[in-house]
Amino acid sequence: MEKIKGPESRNDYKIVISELGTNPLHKIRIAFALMGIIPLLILFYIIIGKNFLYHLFLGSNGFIIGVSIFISVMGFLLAYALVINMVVKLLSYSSERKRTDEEKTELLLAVTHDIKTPLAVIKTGIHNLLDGMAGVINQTQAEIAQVCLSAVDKTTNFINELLNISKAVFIRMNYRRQLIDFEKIVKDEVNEISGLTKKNNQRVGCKILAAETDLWGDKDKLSRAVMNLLSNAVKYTPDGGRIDLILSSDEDTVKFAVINTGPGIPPDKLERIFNKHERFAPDSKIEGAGLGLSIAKDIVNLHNGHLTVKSQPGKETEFDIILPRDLRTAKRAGRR
Amino acid sequence: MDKKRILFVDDERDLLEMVTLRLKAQGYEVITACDGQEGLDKARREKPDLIILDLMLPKIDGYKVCRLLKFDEKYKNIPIIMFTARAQDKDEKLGFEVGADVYLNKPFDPDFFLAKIQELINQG
Repeated sequence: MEKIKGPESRNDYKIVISELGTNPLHKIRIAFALMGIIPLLILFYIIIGKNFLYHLFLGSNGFIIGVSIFISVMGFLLAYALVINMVVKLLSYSSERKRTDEEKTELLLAVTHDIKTPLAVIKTGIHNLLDGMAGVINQTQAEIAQVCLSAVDKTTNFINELLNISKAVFIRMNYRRQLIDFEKIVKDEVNEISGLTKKNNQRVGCKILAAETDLWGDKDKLSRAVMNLLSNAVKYTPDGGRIDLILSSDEDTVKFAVINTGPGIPPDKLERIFNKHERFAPDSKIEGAGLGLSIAKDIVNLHNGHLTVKSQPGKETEFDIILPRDLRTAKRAGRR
Repeated sequence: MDKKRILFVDDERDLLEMVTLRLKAQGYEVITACDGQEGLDKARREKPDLIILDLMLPKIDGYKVCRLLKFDEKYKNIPIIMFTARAQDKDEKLGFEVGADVYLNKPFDPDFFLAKIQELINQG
């Protein structure tokens, strides 16, 4: 029989409780179950305990004492079995959900892999045609080929966004906490996008106003959050525009601001900017399913931080991440 | 001047054909292989100027082929472009850990791909 794996850390317990908490019906069921069992158990022990003590102190014969002890022990075992059964069901529910999510993600990866390879064939083939490797093509043929190339690019973008959705599921499941240098993360990610910003002729300014930016967090996830904000800035800043980054810190927090000179976000849409699939750019050339900011927000929330936005339409938009450094908590726990 | 030789290892025959056509049009001599073992054998025998290596290969996967070549004094200087449709960050990280010089996702931009090949061959 398969052994059900229990929680291995405090995070796992949090995941179990939060998983159950996502469904209000589960909460109600658990509440009623507890409300039903606990009073019954209390009543049972009061009656048995009272009888047991009564007979013990009044000197009743051993048979009655024995029966009382037997009933008490049986009651205890029954209660123990009921509670353990409930806990095991809760944990197996969470493990099952986790396993199902992992299987779904693996399936998605396999499917997208099998789709991307033929797309690579189509894309290369069309480029070969356009470059005259099968003979000279006329204007109409070239236009048709370009339309097909555009469709391949759109399909590729869609698949990449599907993969981002599956990554969003993984965000909460694989949190690895370590002491990291946030300044290094910012510099690495700025380097990653430098090719694209040069190509778009976008100017990137980076101000580091902090001597120390170390904090406790998941390095890969925070790198992703920073990259998502930078990618968003690159996407929505016009060619020749400006992207400013400001990194600062105090004893308790690290703050990172990304300011871009894009079209801005209308005030009535600001609250929804972090919703999945929301995009508010008038530019129809901007591809993507609009998940980057939502994922960044999930990651920041996972670190008990804040991600906020302010915008002046037609002028600039600023995204601010504030993350707790957690240094004092870690020191008390002997991790620093 | 001798043509530069590229070993292209991929189990997808259509992709082998399309990319080979493009590389030959650019003046390269192309050697192909359809699985990891064949790729490894041809790399050791032919000593190409560059290797383009798919990740998900039959017999031996691309990571292992890359690691075996990069940790061998005789072949470690051959640049390797790792080439895959897998898109997880950990796959790319592993690719660099086993010594790949470039990690490209499918489908790729052909001009960028050719530019990278040229860059790596010139560095060699």
